[in-house]
Amino acid sequence: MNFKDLTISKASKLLRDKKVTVKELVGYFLENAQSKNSKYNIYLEIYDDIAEQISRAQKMIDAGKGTELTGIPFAIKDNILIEGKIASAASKILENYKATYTATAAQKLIDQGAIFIGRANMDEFAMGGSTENSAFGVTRNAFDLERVAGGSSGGPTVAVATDCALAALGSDTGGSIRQPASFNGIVGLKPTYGSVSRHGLMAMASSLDVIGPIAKSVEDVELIFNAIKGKDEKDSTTVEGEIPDKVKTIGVPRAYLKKGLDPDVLQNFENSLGKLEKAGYKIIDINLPNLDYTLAVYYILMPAEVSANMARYDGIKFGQKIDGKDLIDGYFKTRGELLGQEVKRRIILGTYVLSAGYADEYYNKAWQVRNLIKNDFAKAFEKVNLIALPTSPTSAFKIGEKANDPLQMYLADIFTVFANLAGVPAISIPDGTVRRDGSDLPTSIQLVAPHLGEKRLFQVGAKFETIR
Amino acid sequence: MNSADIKKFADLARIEMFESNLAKTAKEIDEVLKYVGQIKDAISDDKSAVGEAESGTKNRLESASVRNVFRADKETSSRAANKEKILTSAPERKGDHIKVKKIL
Repeated sequence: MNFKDLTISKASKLLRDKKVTVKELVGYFLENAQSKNSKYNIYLEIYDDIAEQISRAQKMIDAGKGTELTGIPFAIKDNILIEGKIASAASKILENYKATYTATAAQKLIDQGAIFIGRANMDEFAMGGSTENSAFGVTRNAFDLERVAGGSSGGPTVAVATDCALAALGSDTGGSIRQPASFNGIVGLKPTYGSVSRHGLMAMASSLDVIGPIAKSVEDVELIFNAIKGKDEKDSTTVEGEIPDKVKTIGVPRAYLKKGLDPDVLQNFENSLGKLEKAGYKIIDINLPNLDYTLAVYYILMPAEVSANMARYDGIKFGQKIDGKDLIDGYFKTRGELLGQEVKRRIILGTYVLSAGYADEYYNKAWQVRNLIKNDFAKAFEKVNLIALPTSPTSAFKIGEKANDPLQMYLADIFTVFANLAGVPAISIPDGTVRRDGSDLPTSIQLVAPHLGEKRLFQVGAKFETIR
Repeated sequence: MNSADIKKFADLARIEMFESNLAKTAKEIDEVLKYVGQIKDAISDDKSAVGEAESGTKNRLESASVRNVFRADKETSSRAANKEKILTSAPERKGDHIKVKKIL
């Protein structure tokens, strides 16, 4: 049987109709994972209990208790916890850390009999946009081995793009699901802030972080989102609810699209808008006056929250440690040697913008501008049902191209961070390719909805897949 | 930002920095600070703009609305079971304690 172009819904039908067994299905992805890992560096660990997971899922199906996710092989980003398994966030400081509980989102998938093949590579503690900041080596792009996977969810995304998993869980703080999905030609959803529990996700920037699905189709992403969403007493920021899903108008912030966008990436986006217009949606120019400040606001608030969240890694409570001559010297050595450059840079930057004398100028001001940005979106969504823009200004860049220039790397997030600042959901869907050095590299359109408007994204996204 | 500033903030964050790395980090952080400094232009001195920025739309946006969240008033987990899990995670333990270097 050919499993190559399988989606979750097709696979799950095969399983329930007894055309294939869970073992056969998972076997295909597992063999790929084992044979391709040295080439792409996707998995930091392939789990050793897959046989048990398979037999549990098969029993559920045989007993007629299977759901659409039973027996479906997933990759999990290395910052989401499964009890008893190592979760390192691709950092030396947690290299041997075994999770003591399971993340709510992962548990919900386990309850449905989903299979976790292994934990996938990422930028250390999700800080980066290329997976070059992993302490365990870079993950390579599914379309061109010389190029980055994108990040920070590089491993989970390449896992799906190369058939080393059928779907994956990632996390998105400033674009970490959408941008790698775009670089590898698959679909990624950043859900509404609070719609998926963060319990068991290693905190990076708590007012921005969210867990979300990565898969091959909008329908698959929707299936996973519906399985993992919902209120959780272990995360008091979780919310529930829905808004009307009718979409007639799509707004485009054209004034913002001039910035550093590759002409052919823009052309793919314009073509996509043309197709959506033909399909009956009204495309309207909208103005989001404070969009220009999103990246600046993000690179103040995010490091500020990072500096607070990273304080827990001190070599005392968990993870690795390096001995010092006394207690405090041990903190300095542990953090100095076991945290990577980018993590340290963000902690120091965050400490600076929060320090007395600078907090008013940076942190407090950034919160005010964040409110203006939220206002802009609220106003825009009074006029339009969805907003569209490209996911990334470029296709996947070369490994090493931006690694020594943090500011250039940060600018790659220009079309994604606003959704995290405003807390709104956004989906990235492939919309074409561009040619670079002999490779055809994927680009994507990004659709953005108001809070709890995921249904609008799924509805228009699924439509777009049929007309692109 | 110069090397001395970086040293100072790294000290506040309890991160040991190598001398050889200070100047490079200072330059990188300086560039980022120059870039993010543009938010100063985002809010004019106009009082209404400042008011809008401060109040935001937090009441209009459901997921950002500020509200109290209470858990049910009952015991949530077994402390004994958690104790062992937590102790196992620590790099060094002695019996039922996490072992640290002498403080006083």
